[in-house]
Amino acid sequence: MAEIICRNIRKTYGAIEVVPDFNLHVRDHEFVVFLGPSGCGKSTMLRMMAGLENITSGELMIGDKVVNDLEPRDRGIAMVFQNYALYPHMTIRDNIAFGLRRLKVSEAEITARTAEVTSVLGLEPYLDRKPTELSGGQQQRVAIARAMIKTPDVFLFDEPLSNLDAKLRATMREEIARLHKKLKTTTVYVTHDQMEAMTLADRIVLMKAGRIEQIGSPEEIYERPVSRFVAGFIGTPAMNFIDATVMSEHGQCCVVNNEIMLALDGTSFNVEPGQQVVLGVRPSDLVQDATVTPPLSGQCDLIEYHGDHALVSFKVGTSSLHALVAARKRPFEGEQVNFAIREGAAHLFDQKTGKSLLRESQSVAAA
Amino acid sequence: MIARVIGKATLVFCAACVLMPLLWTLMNAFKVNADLLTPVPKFVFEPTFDNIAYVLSRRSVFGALYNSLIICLSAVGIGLVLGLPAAYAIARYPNRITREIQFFVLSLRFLPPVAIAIPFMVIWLNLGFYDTRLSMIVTYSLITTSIAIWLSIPGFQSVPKEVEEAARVDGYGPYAVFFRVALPVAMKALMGALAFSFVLVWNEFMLALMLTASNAKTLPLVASEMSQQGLNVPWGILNAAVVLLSIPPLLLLGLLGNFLNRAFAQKRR
Repeated sequence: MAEIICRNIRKTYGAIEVVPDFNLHVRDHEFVVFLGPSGCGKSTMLRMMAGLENITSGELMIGDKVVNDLEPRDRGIAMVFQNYALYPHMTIRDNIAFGLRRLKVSEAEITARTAEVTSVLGLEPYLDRKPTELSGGQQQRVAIARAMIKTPDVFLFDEPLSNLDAKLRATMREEIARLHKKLKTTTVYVTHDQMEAMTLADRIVLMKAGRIEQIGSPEEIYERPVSRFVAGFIGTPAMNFIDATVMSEHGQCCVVNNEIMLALDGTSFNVEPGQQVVLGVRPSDLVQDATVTPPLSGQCDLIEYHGDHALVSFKVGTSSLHALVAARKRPFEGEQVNFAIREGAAHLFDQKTGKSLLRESQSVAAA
Repeated sequence: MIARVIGKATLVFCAACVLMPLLWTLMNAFKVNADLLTPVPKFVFEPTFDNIAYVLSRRSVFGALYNSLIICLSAVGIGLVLGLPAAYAIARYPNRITREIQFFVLSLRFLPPVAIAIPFMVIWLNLGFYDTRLSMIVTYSLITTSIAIWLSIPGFQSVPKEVEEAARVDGYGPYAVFFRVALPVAMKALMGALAFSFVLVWNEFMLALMLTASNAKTLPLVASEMSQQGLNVPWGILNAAVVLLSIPPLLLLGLLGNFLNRAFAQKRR
């Protein structure tokens, strides 16, 4: 068990700066997920923690020691790779025991510990097979067993589920969550799948171009995105964005563009009249309502049926918006629709900086 | 349907083109001269073991066989010991220098053997190692090393990098990763390098002709000498010598093939 502290970590490949300045404190027992689009430096960061990449500058502590220059084996970590990275020439048993063999653990103890982890992961029937004879999900389970058997201080997962099909991914996600509940080992998990991040993480570290965009619990990230990037990255279907200008009319704060004029609670946002902003609304926060004036109205041009819900696309002026409605109440294509924004569910971002304009103290009610 | 028949026929024809001369050689090794020198080729004849017996009865043949085996196996061994780590380094750390090395190694094979045979002769004469097995082993090691490097690079490149990283995380140092992970995983690809370099030096003629006189003569030289006896070309004996010459590489390829088949069969199950 250990905490991980990253202080001003920087990584460059030649002249290319991949991670400029990374600061993070992962607490003991915590499950932290690095989330971000591909090429955002999340895997590089994880590989630096594992000791597979050099740290250009800064300080990385695992437990209470600085591990910058330590070999992977001296860091107390275990890692699970995206493509499983099992040793193809060894049986499953040898794959799992390979790490212990190096530590000169007695054969009796190796047998006992192998039996323990394989029973947890349900791998007993496959112990004498080769990795290629197993399915993807089973191989990933072996990789997890191989990491578990060393009883590391820290688990590192590098996109472990992205090579699996959707159904298996959901099952394995559950298994990883259960495993963490049981072992409580500090875990850093890299993924580009927001579903994995939301379901597994105690805290999400959302990254963009080597920088941390936001750190927070899944709920904080979803409810209070600090920037337009975070708001657009998290949530399916994606948030609607409308460019507008802030106006003040009779002391009432409004956002206005050519097609819409919406009144806002001026106390929730740090805005000035004349400011160029982006209004953000999640499709699930648009409610079918013709009583509010003026509503967001337009002609419905596409319906995506999801089963319990339907995604309604409609055009308000030039911007195309999406709303998630109950499937039973969905309109017809071509029908005129009126939507209102659920109270307190609007987000405002500065057009230039992309930063959220929500006041710090303001908390948004759970939708 | 017709396309398949034509395809099959083409394959059979090509296979026959390859196999017929080999079969002919094998048959001729068991014919007397009267059967050999006929206008109409004979497929049915009374086999004789005189040719084989003659070849095996010559002491020079056994000496040459011994030389060939010692020289070729040593050269292949040295080639692999030096070539495999070099190939691994080139495959794992591609940069300007290793790319240059890779090309340099290939460029060694551009040189015609004649061009290096004479300098080698002078070198070995001056050092006093001319016509020794040692000088032949060292000379052939240059060939086997460059072949081993060139052919093993793709083998090592095909080993997933993550597998080696997993071994590093499992606590193994670079040497252990090479011997316990990279080498066994790449083994199948490396067998090709082994077989090819063995066959190459086993059949090597030019350098052997220039660098040996009597003590270190290899089998190809001795076999070729048999065509120079007297006025009549002893076709039967010559063919018998060729058959004998082909047996060791065939045995080696057979062993390797068996190994490869087992490796693949395991994978498919």
